[in-house]
Amino acid sequence: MLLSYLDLAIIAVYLIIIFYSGYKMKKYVTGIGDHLVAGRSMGYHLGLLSMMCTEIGMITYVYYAEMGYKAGFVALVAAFPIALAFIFVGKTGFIIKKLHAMKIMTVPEFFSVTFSKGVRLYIGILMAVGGILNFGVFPGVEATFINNMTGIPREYILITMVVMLVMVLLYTLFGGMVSVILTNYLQYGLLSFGMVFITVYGIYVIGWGNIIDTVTTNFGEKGLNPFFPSGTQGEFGIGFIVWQFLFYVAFIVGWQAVSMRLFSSKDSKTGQRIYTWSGLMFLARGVLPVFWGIMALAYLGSDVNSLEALSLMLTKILPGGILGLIMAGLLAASMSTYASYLLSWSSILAQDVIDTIIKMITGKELSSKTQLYINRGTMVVVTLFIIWWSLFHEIEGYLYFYLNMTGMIFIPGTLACLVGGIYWKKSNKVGAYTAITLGLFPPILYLLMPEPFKTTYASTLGWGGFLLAFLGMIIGSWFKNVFSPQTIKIEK
Amino acid sequence: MNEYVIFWTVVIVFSLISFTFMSFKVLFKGWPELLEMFDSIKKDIASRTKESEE
Repeated sequence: MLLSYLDLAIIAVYLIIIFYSGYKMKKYVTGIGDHLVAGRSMGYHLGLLSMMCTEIGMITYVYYAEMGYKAGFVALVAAFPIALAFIFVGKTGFIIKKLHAMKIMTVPEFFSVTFSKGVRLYIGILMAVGGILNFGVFPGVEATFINNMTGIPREYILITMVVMLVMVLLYTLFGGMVSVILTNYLQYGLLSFGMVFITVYGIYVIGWGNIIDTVTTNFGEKGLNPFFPSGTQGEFGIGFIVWQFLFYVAFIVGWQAVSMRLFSSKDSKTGQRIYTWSGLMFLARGVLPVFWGIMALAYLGSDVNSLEALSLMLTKILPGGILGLIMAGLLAASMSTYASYLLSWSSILAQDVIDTIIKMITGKELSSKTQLYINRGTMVVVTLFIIWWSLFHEIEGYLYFYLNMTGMIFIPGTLACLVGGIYWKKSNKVGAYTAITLGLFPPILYLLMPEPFKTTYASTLGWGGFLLAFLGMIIGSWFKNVFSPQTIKIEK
Repeated sequence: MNEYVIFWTVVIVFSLISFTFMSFKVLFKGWPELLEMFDSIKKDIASRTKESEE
């Protein structure tokens, strides 16, 4: 066991506080729900804090650190597009201002209002597939991280996964999803302390000069210059930046867990303000973990599994007590991320896919009891699937690219439909179907191709997906307007 | 290559400082917002209980 009794005690106390506060806050659950629905949304600082907590889990640190470990300083480029996308959307109100004015509450709702119910079902199916494949690697990666940090032998990975998922279910039961606002506050305190401490203490232990020397020795100019050998040839060159910027603009406006913060804010200005300042926070969310990966390379050498480098370094450099504090913060962060992802993806599968198909076939509304059974059933199926996928699916190439590409199954089509539906009067459902379908090909190609092609062509397939989706929107809409003209339903 | 080393150093230091500053700010200013929110929820629950009693 790598953790000391002090570390274990800190983790135990922290988890008890989280579960106990969740239990005590249960009576406020309905109150908070009503509160948010009533439009009296949480304050700006609390909103910012809550957004960061939802979007940080153990897996976030693992995939960023892997990039730093495998590519050196150039991987820091990955932190910029998301920051720029938040600032761009926050400052300009691109898409979100119009969605807010249309009083749209969810993105699928936009699809059914602007295009058709069929388009909504189609994007719902792709969202469920992409989201569950994305979520499918979480348990394996995080259980490995926990096992490395605690010293639990590798063969117990299945047990770690099951214990984690049971904890998530308990957390959700004890009012976790809603009282998360309170626990987020506590969680963010630990997470932010951990992020700053690991960076400063890591530099102190490993040495700045040693870190720079390691990168130059291992990678040469390729580890420092993102445009080496040319702007278009590097893994993190211009193509990567363009792809990532488009991806994150779509992510901000189309990923329900993020965009709901805008939809529930009292006016679009408050939402835009949260987005703008999130840009700065998201820059650090990427830069610091990538840098930890580089520190791991300097400290452990290049022979370690890149997905395990961060956890192995942390156990070796962090002093007793601090390790427990950071581990507690990470566990709590992952539980809230798990809970929200499990609910989001299983509810999309239940409501936007299964319920819609049953309604289309039978022509009747489902009773709330049946809906509840379907929701619970999909949650069980998703849980079993992610355990199976984690055990048997081997990740090739960067974990970061895998996660982005599974999201790409629906993201290019979503962005093309949002831009077309909001800013182009001639867009229509044929354009929407074509955009979604064409945007689907590059990520499927990526998921099927072997390494080293995955890493070499990821960026091209990434921006190519968006290009195809936008072309699909233009060509499909034009085709429909020429052969069967009909304007779209809503007043733009 | 030195210019890249300087650039990435600035990026890391800037991220670390801005993140520390922003974290202190959201934690410091978020606490009164949290208390205010729970206060308002308590009032909502109390008024609803009163309405249902009436």
